[in-house]
Amino acid sequence: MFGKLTLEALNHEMSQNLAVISMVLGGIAMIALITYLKRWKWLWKEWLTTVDPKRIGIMYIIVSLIMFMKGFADALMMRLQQALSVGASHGFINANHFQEVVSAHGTTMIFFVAMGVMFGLLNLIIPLQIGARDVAFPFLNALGFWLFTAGGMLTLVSLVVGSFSATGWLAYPPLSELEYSPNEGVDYWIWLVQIAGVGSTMSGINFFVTILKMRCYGMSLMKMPIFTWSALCAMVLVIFAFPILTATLALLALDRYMGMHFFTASHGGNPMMYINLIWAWGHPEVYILMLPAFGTFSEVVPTFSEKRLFGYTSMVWALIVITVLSFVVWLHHFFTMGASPNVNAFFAIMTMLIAIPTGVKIFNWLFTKFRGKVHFDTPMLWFFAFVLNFTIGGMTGILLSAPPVDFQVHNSLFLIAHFHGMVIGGVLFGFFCAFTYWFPKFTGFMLNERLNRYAFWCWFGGFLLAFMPLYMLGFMGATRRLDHYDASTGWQPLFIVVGVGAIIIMIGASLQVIGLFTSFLDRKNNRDGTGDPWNGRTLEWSIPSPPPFYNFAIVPTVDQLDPLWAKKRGKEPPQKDYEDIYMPKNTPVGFLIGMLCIVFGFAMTWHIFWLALICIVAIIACLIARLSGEDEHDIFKAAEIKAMDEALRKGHKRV
Amino acid sequence: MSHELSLHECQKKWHGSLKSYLYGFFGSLALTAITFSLVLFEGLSGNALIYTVVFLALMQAVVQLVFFLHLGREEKPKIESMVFCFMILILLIISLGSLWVMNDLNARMMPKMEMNHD
Amino acid sequence: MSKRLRDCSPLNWATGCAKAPGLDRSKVAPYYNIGALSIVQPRELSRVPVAQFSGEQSLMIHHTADPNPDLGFPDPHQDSFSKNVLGFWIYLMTDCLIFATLFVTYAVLHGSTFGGPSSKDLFELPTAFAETMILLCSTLTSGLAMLAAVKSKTKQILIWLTLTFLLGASFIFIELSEFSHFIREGHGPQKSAFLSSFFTLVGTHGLHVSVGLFWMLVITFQLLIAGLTPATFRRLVIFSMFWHFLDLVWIFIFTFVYLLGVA
Repeated sequence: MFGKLTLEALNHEMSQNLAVISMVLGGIAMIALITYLKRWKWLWKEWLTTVDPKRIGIMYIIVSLIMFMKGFADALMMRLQQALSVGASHGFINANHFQEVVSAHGTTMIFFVAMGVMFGLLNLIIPLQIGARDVAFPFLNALGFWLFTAGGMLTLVSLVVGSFSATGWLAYPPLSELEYSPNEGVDYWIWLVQIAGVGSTMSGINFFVTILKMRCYGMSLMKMPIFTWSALCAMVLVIFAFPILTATLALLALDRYMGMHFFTASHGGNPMMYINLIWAWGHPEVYILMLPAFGTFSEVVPTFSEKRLFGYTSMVWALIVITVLSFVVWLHHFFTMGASPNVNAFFAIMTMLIAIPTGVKIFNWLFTKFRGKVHFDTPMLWFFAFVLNFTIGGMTGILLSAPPVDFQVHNSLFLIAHFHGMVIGGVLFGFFCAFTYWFPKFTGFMLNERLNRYAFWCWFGGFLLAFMPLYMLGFMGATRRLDHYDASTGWQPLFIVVGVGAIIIMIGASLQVIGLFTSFLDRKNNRDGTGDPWNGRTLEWSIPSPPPFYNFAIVPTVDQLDPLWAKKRGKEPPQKDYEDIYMPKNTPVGFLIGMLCIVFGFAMTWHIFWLALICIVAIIACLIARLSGEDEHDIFKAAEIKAMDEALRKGHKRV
Repeated sequence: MSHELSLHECQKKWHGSLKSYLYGFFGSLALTAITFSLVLFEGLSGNALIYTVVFLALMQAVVQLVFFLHLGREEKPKIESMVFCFMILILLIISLGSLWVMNDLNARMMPKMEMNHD
Repeated sequence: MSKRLRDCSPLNWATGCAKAPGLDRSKVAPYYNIGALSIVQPRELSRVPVAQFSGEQSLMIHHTADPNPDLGFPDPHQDSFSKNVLGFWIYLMTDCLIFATLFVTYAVLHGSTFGGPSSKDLFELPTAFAETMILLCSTLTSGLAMLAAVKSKTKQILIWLTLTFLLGASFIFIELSEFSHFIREGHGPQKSAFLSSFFTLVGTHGLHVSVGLFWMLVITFQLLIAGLTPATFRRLVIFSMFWHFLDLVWIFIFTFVYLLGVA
């Protein structure tokens, strides 16, 4: 009746129990707070059923923040264990649990933090930058968000009920096959990644069509901001890479659920095929994360240098070349699997080639700042941290792209240091840059500059302390995912340094959260009334902060790059007049399907097939209900919009 | 968005015609018949057969893409066609790349006792 | 040197020495001077009736599909039809890649029979030929349904759609018979990597066809209740794209799996 689920699933070790208790208490606290503030109806009407990309973007970032706390807790546990577990001591986590923590850390950070903040940014910024009122498929966009959240929630559920997979963030077979991982961990992993992946594909299709079909008057492709270009290229990567993940995970699921033999060690299965396919997805995935971060810097650097971006055309071409090349380098993730020298050499050369357009971009940013008037606000500080850390990480990447070197350091801590340099130094610092830059736009008040600077220095110093020693450890022979080692290796001092670095990062992250709270509490004094606190160049700074639900009262007409700077110089082309606005109605279907997916994933994991079937039927019913009938919109007459717009200009609170 | 097309305007935007469907149908029919006969009655053999059959399949795919899916008939900018071409590029990279890689890996890494028919 | 050139280094000449206007931020003219606005802007804002505007003509710019659109620039007044068609086309592209992954897996694993039967031993061409013909005819009938839709002949649409459904259902029936025949003979998907990849590739296509069958039922229902509207027409177009796509994939299945498997 309950499949494989028994009460035994709730039996955990002490450290896990603590996590479970804190999570459950946190959930209860949240529910209590909402009830106390009597905000359930508001939550439902304004947030859970919304199709407004601005709200969906904020929700993406909130969910990512929650998942970041889990992923970071995993990281702290790992580093603490590795600092303590030497020789006779075995730390405080046993070997199997450590592998679960490792797998959860990677899965959470890639799928639910990095992808989440990336899609959150796209939701917030893209419609505004292209002068649109909405995305192309508002419901699909919302559905993509709720599927993402469903995956995240399943990750948290796996903490409470049963255990997570112990096979790393990519679940290599044959270890992840039934024979060697018979319990529910890998099944949890398969379903939560699959659900989140389908959500990502939906969002990818949505933003691709949005950018191509919904730009404002006069905005040709070569007049789009570079952030929009980077989003377009990232969405191309999503559309063409995620199907590979969907198919490959389905094959692994068939192996585990139907006893098939795609990747098993017997009956003709070929585990190497899984690794080949998963990395054919996996490499474009990291570029999906990276390109919007690049786009952010292309927005921040010119604005804070008071100078137009250097080499717009070459930036666009660099993005396109990176997009195409990212599909031909995937083998560098498994040089050591045993391919012949010719195969390895081909992919090595392709990998080295991809450094060229990346270098073009970095030099263009630096040339933009040359002879510019550079303002060292927090977004610009994050750019500097990015340049240093990402370049170091990138250069070690070039080192790794040489197969002979890779044979020495593959799967050692050297590799860990490299990719964390890219993901933290590139993606995360890019997100922090974007967050501090665009925060005033969506909230109407400025962030606490001092606390964010302290947080920045903690992150910067902490990152260097936590990851530079890993390069050394890698050369000294330390492999990844190691929960215990011998004292004679001499690694412990370095692991302790790394642990200290992780704690400093924790202080930085805490300062950011505190800064967020103090800024919110102090918002009346921090208010930005202009909608444009940084002297912005692009369209999103031409509307009030926070933006009204229709974004633009008049759809803009542009005729050049940096349209807002043109407007400030008085060189704006004639604009259209007010017109009726059709906005899509809210819908509960996205939220419902998301919740049904959580139950579905849980049911499939525990083999409660009757429940899974009910969920599928319910999901189909929801979709049919949503996709029947005529398209409904709320209509706002031009005169209403005109009145509202003029009132906003005069600073009135209400129309 | 602000304005929806009427039913009539939507119908005008669709690109099919009876001629197009009949060309597609009889073209596919002919190509299928030829291919099946070649294999069933062993008209060719070995590599020649393989190349011919694959070529005929690609021809039929083009026929169906043009006459059934109306590829290339959309208004400018022809986003659908561009996306299709890019998809073909990625598809070739992934499939041919994977075949190359897996063949190489199988030759070097798979147990020799298994006689693989290829 | 003129002030303009002095401010402009050689590196900037290429970009036109573009500098930001208004270096002093406090002097940047605010476009919006907002009072105390809350973070969340409730839609109720616009629902407050503004009495003096009731009865006034809408200021809407009448927008119809421009007969001579300037194709160099995008038009933000995109109608749902072309947007949805493009969006669905992109989905079909992702589906192509899913099938490509399954095809590649089949190609890599088709020789791994683990001592069991190979494609030569198992596949029967007459069955594959029958399935091909049925699917081809169903593609034609779905196209004829679309032609009827363009002429707004709802009854004809339903007739052709029913034919398509029957043909599709017979395709599924034959395929399921083939599968169950193999399984009864002991050649199920659990027996070898080759069989796993065969059943999955062909089965995934069959699953898509089954979804199409169900979709046809839903569309029929919608047509009976709501008739032909811009929304139902659009959904018919998208369904026909899906159905044609399935025949396209089948070409590659019967070529690479059945024909080359037997040859």
